[in-house]
Amino acid sequence: MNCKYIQDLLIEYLENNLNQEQANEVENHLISCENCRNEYQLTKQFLHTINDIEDEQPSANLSMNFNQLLEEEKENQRQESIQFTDQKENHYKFGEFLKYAAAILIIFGLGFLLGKNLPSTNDQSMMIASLQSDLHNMKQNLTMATLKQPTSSQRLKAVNLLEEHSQADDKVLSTLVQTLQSDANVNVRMAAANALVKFSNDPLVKNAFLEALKNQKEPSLQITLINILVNLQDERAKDLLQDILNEENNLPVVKELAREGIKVFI
Amino acid sequence: MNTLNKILITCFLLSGVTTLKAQKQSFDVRPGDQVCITNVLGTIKVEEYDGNGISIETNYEKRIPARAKGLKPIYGSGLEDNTNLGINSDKEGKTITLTGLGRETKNKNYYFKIPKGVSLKIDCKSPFASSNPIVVRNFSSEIEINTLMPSVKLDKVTGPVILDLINGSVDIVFSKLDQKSPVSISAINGNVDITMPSDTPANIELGTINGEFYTDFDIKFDAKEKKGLSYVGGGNKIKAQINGGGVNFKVKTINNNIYLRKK
Repeated sequence: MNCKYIQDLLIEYLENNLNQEQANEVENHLISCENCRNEYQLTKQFLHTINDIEDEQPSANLSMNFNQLLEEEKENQRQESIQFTDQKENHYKFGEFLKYAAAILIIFGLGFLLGKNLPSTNDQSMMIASLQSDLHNMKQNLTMATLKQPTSSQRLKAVNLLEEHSQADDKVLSTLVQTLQSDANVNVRMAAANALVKFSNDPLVKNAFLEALKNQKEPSLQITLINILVNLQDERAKDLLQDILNEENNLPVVKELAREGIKVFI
Repeated sequence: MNTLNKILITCFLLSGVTTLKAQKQSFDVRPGDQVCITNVLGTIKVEEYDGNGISIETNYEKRIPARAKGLKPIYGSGLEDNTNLGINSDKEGKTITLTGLGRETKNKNYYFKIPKGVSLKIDCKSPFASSNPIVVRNFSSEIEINTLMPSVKLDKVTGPVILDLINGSVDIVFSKLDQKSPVSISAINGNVDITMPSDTPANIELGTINGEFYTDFDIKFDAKEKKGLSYVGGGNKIKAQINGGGVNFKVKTINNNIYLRKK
């Protein structure tokens, strides 16, 4: 209840929009609650990346083209207006202003269209590359944001996407690890475990598997984790498997697998 | 004495009739919302329908002893029976949680009717839950079910389907397979029996440790993954595309078989 309230305030807090009292409340809660601290970190990262994307400047090429066009158009306008004023003196100042405004609008439109429709010319390939990488980042961020959706299939889809398309980026890994530890649905947690197998050389991921095996109680997930850890041949898993064998509440099938797993280490 | 007996029996029968009278209630819900049914220990049946709001029909009848007159019942979970159906309903954001008041709902029948576009989540991990299967029919939104004991029967559904069962079996008939979101089914002791239209595209991944797969779909068995030497307990795993590939479709059992049929 309290956590939910705090988590609702996090974004406002990060944007410094809270009053002193509320801000204190959030800070105090963050000190005491690890879950919310994680949430805070994630929100912070997310806001950070969003801000980065919004601050994107148009590339040098684009602004150069635009300036050039603007200069040309200005030149034309000046000539025209010179002719114009020659004939009719300064009578139509307001009309001129309108013309300028229209010209600027047209140029703006042109520039925009150029940027949009002619990106295949050589000198703009750099720009495309950077846009593409932005798009990729944005997609990834979006995918991570989907991991907060209430329906499990959406989150499952997000995990599948992260598994297929990402390199072992720290952010991706920590998102997947967090999903493995704390997603509300066990199928999503299993999918996260399977997605992490690809990156199991990373010590962080290995530790996450061990941690999960220690904490997770759903038999289906326990089985998945036992299989993964036995395949990884991580010696540290042996003690955890022994613990599983000794724990009364575990299903016979889970214990059986743990027993088989321990044999592999000997 | 004989007449007294007769009267008693008639009274009994009459009271029996009144308890059979089903109760019905309806709750507000909008497309995009999620209904979460949890801790209902009776028999659960769910169906999609054209109306608005969730409708619940049940043979539950509130019985409060005469001695408790003027007092408020406090059920084990600390929740209040605010529906008079043995269920506490609570709406938070887009999620409507219907929490059964434990023992109160045991041996009762609950029939939920849910409008189109509302996703369903059933959490039935209580060891005291009914052993009757949970039945969901004609459902075109997401279904997520976790159970410890009961089996799950889904008929004429489209997915996405996310199941995690321990002792129950899974029976699903897909009327078509939604291509937007993945399907993930995990059962430990029960078998999984799935029927889909023969032209369903999907990327299927089947895994079992002590069971076998049976299917009449065209699956290339050379796609079968090599059994790793260290893979605990042996186990089978098949990854393949059917009808050119499509949405991810993952089924896993430990101790039983997987059946995948064409319709």
